[in-house]
Amino acid sequence: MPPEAMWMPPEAMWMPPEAMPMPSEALWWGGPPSGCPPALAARHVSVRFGGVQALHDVSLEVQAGQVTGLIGPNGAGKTTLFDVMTGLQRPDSGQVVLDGRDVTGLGPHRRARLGVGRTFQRLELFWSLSVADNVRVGAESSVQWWGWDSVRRSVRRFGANRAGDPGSLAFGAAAVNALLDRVGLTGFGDARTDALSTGSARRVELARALAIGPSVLLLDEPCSGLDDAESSALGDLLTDLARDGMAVLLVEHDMDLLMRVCDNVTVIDAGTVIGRGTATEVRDDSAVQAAYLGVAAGAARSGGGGR
Amino acid sequence: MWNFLSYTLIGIVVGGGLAVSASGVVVTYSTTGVFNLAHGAVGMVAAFTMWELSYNPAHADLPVLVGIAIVLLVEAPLIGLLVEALFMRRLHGASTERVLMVTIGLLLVLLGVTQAVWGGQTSRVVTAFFPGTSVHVGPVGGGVSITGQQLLTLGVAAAVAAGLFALLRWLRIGMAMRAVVDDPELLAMAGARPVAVARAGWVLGCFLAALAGVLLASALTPLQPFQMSLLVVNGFAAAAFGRLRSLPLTFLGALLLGLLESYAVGYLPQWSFLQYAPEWLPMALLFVVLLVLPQDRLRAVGRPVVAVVPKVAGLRASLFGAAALVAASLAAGAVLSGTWLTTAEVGVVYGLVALSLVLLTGYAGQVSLAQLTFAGVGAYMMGRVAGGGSWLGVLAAVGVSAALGAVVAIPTLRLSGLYLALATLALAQVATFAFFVPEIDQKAPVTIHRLGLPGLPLDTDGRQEVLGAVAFALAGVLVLAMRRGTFGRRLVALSDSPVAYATVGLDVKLTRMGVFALSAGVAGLAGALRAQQVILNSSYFDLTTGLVLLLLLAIWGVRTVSGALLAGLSLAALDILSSHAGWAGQIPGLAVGAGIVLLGRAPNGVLGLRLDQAVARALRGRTPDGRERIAEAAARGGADAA
Repeated sequence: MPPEAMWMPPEAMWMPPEAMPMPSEALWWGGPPSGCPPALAARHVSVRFGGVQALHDVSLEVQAGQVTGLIGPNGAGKTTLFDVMTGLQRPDSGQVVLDGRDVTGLGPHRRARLGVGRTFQRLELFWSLSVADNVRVGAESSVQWWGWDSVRRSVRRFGANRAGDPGSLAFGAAAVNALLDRVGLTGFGDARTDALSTGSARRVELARALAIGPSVLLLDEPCSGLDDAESSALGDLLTDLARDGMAVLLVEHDMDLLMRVCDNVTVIDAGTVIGRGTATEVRDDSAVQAAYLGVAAGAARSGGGGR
Repeated sequence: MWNFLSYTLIGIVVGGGLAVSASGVVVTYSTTGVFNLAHGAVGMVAAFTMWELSYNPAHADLPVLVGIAIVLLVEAPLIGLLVEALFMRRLHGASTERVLMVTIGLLLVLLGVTQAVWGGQTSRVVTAFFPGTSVHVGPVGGGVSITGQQLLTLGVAAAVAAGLFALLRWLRIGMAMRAVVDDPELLAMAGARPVAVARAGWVLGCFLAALAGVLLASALTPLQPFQMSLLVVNGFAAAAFGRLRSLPLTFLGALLLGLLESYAVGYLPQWSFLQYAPEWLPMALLFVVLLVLPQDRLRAVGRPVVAVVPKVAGLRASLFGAAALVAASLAAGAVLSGTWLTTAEVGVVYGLVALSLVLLTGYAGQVSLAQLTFAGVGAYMMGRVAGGGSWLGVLAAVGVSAALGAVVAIPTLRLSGLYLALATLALAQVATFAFFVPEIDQKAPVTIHRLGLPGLPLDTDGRQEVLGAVAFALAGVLVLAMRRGTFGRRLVALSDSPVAYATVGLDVKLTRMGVFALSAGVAGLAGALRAQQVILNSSYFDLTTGLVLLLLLAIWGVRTVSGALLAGLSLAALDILSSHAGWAGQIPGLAVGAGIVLLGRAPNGVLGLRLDQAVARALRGRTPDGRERIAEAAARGGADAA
């Protein structure tokens, strides 16, 4: 099924904020009207830090086989929403549903085992491990460390390489290398992680997230620090992953990339959803430009070339 | 009724003293981000200086007021400035563990200096201020007396509270001090100088430490360096009560602690484990406060300043090292005798304790100040099981210590960094005073037979030394094998980024509990071996010895097995050296001082030095990483230009 054929009833395409239905009514248009339940969904999530309402009644669904974009100005609550969806932040109210199961009460490692992988806006690598070992920690996350396999591996450096399945005990050097190839880090296995450029480090994070064999992948600004060619390659990779059935949620500021890879985009500002639609629709909407792209973009568009 | 009032009054006075010292800890921590374990030692040095200036019967005395003025207005600020300039400034952005180690080192340096200057058997007496003056309330023969000293303590506490309030609220430097921890760079942009603020934090902290030392001197007379340095440990509980940041809560905590201590003296029954309740109750309270306090949630920490890690030895190298160690120990057992043999014998066993710290602190990044406590439990079990001194006892020592480690880990799982260090510090103190002192020191010594293998009794010191070395060699090979395996990778990963660890599907708490139990088991084994060597004594397992061992390990290299061996051997050697008179007695303090200066520069200690240089060379030169960096910088420059 081509992605653009589903997802939204025509009347809910993009509408200005004042015409938007209230979020409680809006739930039904957040997803397809029938069939495939979302791979991961946040429902009516609110988070408050002290006096700041970081998220207010936010609902977001991520479909298997699609790349969903999430945009908004800095401080809009994108990373907080990621934290809520991956279990690092417990919401004050609302639910997180993974594959039809309420996972709101589960910690981050339980959700990861159920197939939620993520990367971080501020890099969170295992800085004292080599690049390959970073990926291996992810790949081996289902191994019991006291098991025989772990003992055998510590004696023979990389163990037997029987299969490429990230979940299997025999996940070995070749599979790690395959993942590094996939994110464009061929030959970087033995490199020191803390000596990498930001762009390369982001790709190590991506490889590590892929190594747990996720069904849902949440990427927090994966392209910052990447050059155009690398961004483009990453876009292709995300498209491939979605085609293989993965659900991808992407926070990114690069509109060109969003337009190329995203099946749909959700915009949040100041903790609330202010719009949803295809990337093109979102880009062309004046309210979104005002909230997100800012005055500069508006000025540029009106031909002033403000700065 | 009057009794109760007296205890209450004493409690309030004790609380006042604690408040002065604890507020110093909080001021330094909240302005510099450094929790100063040496805070009490600064107060101790102040008290000794005051004695030297005004109370030393050997030469003409300065008036007490002049002595105090010199101590508070000259010496304390000088110490603060020196500490900031020599040790702390380089540590900006360093890990919590490294900063803690440096303050431990500072504690030991101050202790060393004090012992070098004021060593010997002289009894140093400081009399109370305003002797003979007191205010009496209530009927004659009952009622409550308040001495001048007590009134002074209360007055000073109140003045400190008011002064700090005014400083932080109204003065420019005070406001900068509140702002600096949150964001030094932002503060710099706003026109204040973070270095000046940090300096002010150290000066004020040391001033308050000295003030507390001066106030408490007469209560602790004759002055003893160790006792005075660790007295402030109780103040840590008060500081923790204020979450290390809030001064009003710190004062309240100090007051509650003082009352608790005083009532404990007055009303607790005389059971053996309660006998030292005044010593360990505040520590138990610290433990509880840390557990109850709301903690920061698991949070992204971002990219560290440096994370250079020593290369991990392969199987062949570790087996070779183990064989070399055993061979050396056989030779040493045959050749050495007397003090030298004792050093080797004790050293390898301390090395085993240090090895347990390599697992816990070096790999998993968890600071434990209670590792010798687990060794003590192992030693105790060795004496109690199967008539004292049998292989069964060794098993029991390892098993019970490991189980205890797991049990201790459960409440402390949510703690990390500094809070974990403080909780284990509390644990070490409670274990010493509630268990080791009454159960080991004050009961008849238990006979512990020396182990033997079939046909090979291990009854001489030489053979004991070989036994310890073999145990270390085996444990070292195993630890290295583990480090190369799945579990080791996980420990390092957990230490680097708990939040990423959780998001790849690994259980942070379970792993922490596992490594805690494992390392406690290794420490228990060391305790069992130690029990064979000496008649047990609680001082072998106390907090100070543990701190020295941890610091030595940090100096040699906290992530290396060979560093553990060297740390153990140097601890044994320092023990013997420091009992020497003359220049040899000064070596420990100097060595440690040099060591902490080094720690400011080399996170991996002495053994990591060469590697650091090699890495620096590699980074400068021809690696793909270097090229990539340049390319990236060029790209960025290009973007800026466009």
